[in-house]
Amino acid sequence: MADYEPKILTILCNWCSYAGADLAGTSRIQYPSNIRVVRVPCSGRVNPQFIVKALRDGVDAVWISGCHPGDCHYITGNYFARRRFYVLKDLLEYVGLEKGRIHFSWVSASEGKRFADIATLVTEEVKKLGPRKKFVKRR
Amino acid sequence: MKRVPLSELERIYEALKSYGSVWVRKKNAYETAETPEELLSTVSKVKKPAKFIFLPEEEPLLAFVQDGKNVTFQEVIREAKGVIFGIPPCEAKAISLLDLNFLQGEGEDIYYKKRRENVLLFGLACLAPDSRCFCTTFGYGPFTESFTDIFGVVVDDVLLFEGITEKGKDLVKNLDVEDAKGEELKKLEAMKKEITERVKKLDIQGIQEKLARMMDSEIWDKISSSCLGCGACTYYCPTCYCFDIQDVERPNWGYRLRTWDSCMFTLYTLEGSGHNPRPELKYRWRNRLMHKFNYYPVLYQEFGCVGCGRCIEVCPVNIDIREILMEVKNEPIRA
Amino acid sequence: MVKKIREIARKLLEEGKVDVVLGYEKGTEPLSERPFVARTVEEVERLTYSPFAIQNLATYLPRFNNNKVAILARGCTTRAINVLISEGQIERDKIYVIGIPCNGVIKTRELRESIGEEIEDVSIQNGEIVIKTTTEEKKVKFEDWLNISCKYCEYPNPLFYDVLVGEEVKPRGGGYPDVEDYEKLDEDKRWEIFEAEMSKCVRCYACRQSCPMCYCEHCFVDSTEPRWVEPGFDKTDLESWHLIRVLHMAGRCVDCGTCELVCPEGVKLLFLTRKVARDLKRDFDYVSGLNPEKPPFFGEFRYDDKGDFIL
Ligand code: SF4
Ligand code: SF4
Ligand code: SF4
Ligand code: SF4
Ligand code: SF4
Ligand code: FES
Repeated sequence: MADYEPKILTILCNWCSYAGADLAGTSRIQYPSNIRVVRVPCSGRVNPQFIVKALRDGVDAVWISGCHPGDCHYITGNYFARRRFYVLKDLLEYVGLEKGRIHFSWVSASEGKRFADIATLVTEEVKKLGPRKKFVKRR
Repeated sequence: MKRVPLSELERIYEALKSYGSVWVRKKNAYETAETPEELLSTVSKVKKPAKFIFLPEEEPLLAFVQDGKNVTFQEVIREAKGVIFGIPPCEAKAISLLDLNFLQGEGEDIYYKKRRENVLLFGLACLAPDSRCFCTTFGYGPFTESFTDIFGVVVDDVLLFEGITEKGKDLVKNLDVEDAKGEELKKLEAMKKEITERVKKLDIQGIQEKLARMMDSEIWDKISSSCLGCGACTYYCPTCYCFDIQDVERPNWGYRLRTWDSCMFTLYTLEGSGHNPRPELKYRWRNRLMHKFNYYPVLYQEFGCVGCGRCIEVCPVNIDIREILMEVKNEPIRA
Repeated sequence: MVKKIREIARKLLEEGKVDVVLGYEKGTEPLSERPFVARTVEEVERLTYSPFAIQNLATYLPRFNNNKVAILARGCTTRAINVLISEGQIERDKIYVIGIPCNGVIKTRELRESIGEEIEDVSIQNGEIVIKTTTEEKKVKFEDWLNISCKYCEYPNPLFYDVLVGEEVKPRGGGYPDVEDYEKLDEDKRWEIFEAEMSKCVRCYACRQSCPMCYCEHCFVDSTEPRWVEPGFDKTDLESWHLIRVLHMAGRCVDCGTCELVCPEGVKLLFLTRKVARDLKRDFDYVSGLNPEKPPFFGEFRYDDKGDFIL
């Protein structure tokens, strides 16, 4: 498993978490290169279907990050998102997908270090799980 | 007619096996048999008809790979070879109706053909028509052999059978079996009469002509009022064959996939522009009935329904095609 | 009961109060009590009712938006009506609700298929379903063949009605023991069962079409851009179809069971929808279809919503 390099779809909101990732970069804080970033206007833009589709399309895990509650650029986007993610995460785990394939976090624009820490944590957890055996499309 | 006791079916099983797969009746679908005993299925009506062997629920037609500026295509043909053992006359007739659509002229479908050509139909008389069967409406019945390659009847504990087509006769010729006995043949005749009479025949005389004048009838509203517009009736129907073809794309390759489709779906006729020539359920129901009882007879002089009753059973809201035929028949035509 | 239903329906049609009555009639299949749209006084005589009437009639309401409609409604039907009103699909004023206190509906397809013989007659007597086949008379317990949602139903009585037929019944209640049992299985076992169930699906969409909440003109499953679900029968696509459908049902599904009961392949679907319903009730105190004024579950939030799963 040592050379298993998972692909982690990472969806970041433009105003906080993406800026946080940027800060991590400009501050030269190291974090694993397994994350593949997609920038969205707000975590409220993330339809749970994105996550299901990404997994079916073959990513090893999905990580979604937005502004801390109260800090959303659109005031309430992340509150709406929180409900959806809760339902989705619970449903996927209920049907038996391993815990640890989907992650959520709040990271602000000033939390470059926190961004890198979570990226490391998520990557390590997914590495521990190994390649995905469930929900893998044959062709 | 030949005979083989049911306890000695291995005598024909090996011969069938040498032909390829041997599909037998299981509750939900036709499945390949691993032992001669499996030939003795007691299932009288398989839920998913044998058409699925020729028209599988999904089938890749070709694959494409991109390498720089080069795109290469590869045709994919899924073949099938073997014998469907125990197919009842209704399903065999249904396959003959599919042949009309898939094996003729410009419409010839090589994918269908490759399978159809190499699969023999070993029919068995249907000894237990159920309450939904109305096959005799269409000029044949539970003992009709003509749509099969080999046809048999289980009489007590013996299987009587004979080759019908050349291919079927060839297979039978090489079998080590005896001739049927006189009393067995006599019993068969009696069974045939009794069981055929059990099937409730509908009088649909003149339905094709009547339908031709009913495009604008109000009856379609009534018929479709409880229909949900799902695909159940058409998916399970042994004569329905509509399919969809879509490309599935991956970064550097992809494949073209054919899957089932149903004229009862809204999407079936939805055009790219957003226009839908069959915007409501009533138009879809009209198409379904017209296709079977008008277009098919016009094109091929055969009804497109074999009276198997599957649609009646699988319909979530129990819409019954027999009642609908009778309604159509009794509907007065406005001047 | 049937007499009363017919009486009411006849009067409504005669007086021109409604154009159609959405009810049930006896079907041609054994154990079938199918939806029936009565438009004339003569057709009223066909109306019947029994625990074999599995289809939630609210499904038909949007297509009769230009008519005044009377509808036979049990608890879950009225809940579905509430959701449809709250989502702007129908108007309460145009609907005359003939309320029916409900004792639960039977898994008719599963029961019929389990008999494996020609069924000649069926009746319900003293908590038993008596099935006469060509060879024998079989008795099964009513409670054993109840739809799982009905078995634990909290709202069997219509939440509102214009007229009620019969006496209100006591809710069976009981929560979600089926969901809890599933949760107790280990992860791989859960996945195995889930996968096996979904693999049976033939994509006929009877579940979607029969569901009162699935009125979308363009369902995600038919979308080609993006392709939430690809064509064909790969397990992951069948699973995606059902997972996303269940997500669309969150806070909307009224747990009537129709989807599962009509599935021609007997695919179990309620263990998914009921799981979400359980979560919503337990963790968000949200029950769908109780209040037509309330916004949909995903259309609102609370500042103190669960958030401990977020890093
Ligand atoms: S229309 Fe119905 S009865 Fe006729 S062949 Fe198809 S499934 Fe059988
Ligand atoms: S199965 Fe029944 S409900 Fe579904 S489309 Fe056919 S007739 Fe309509
Ligand atoms: S009704 Fe059953 S078979 Fe049809 S789409 Fe739904 S789950 Fe699949
Ligand atoms: S998803 Fe099923 S149980 Fe829920 S409302 Fe729709 S039909 Fe009823
Ligand atoms: S599954 Fe979702 S998109 Fe499809 S019809 Fe139902 S609610 Fe609409
Ligand atoms: S803008 Fe960051 S979560 Fe809404």
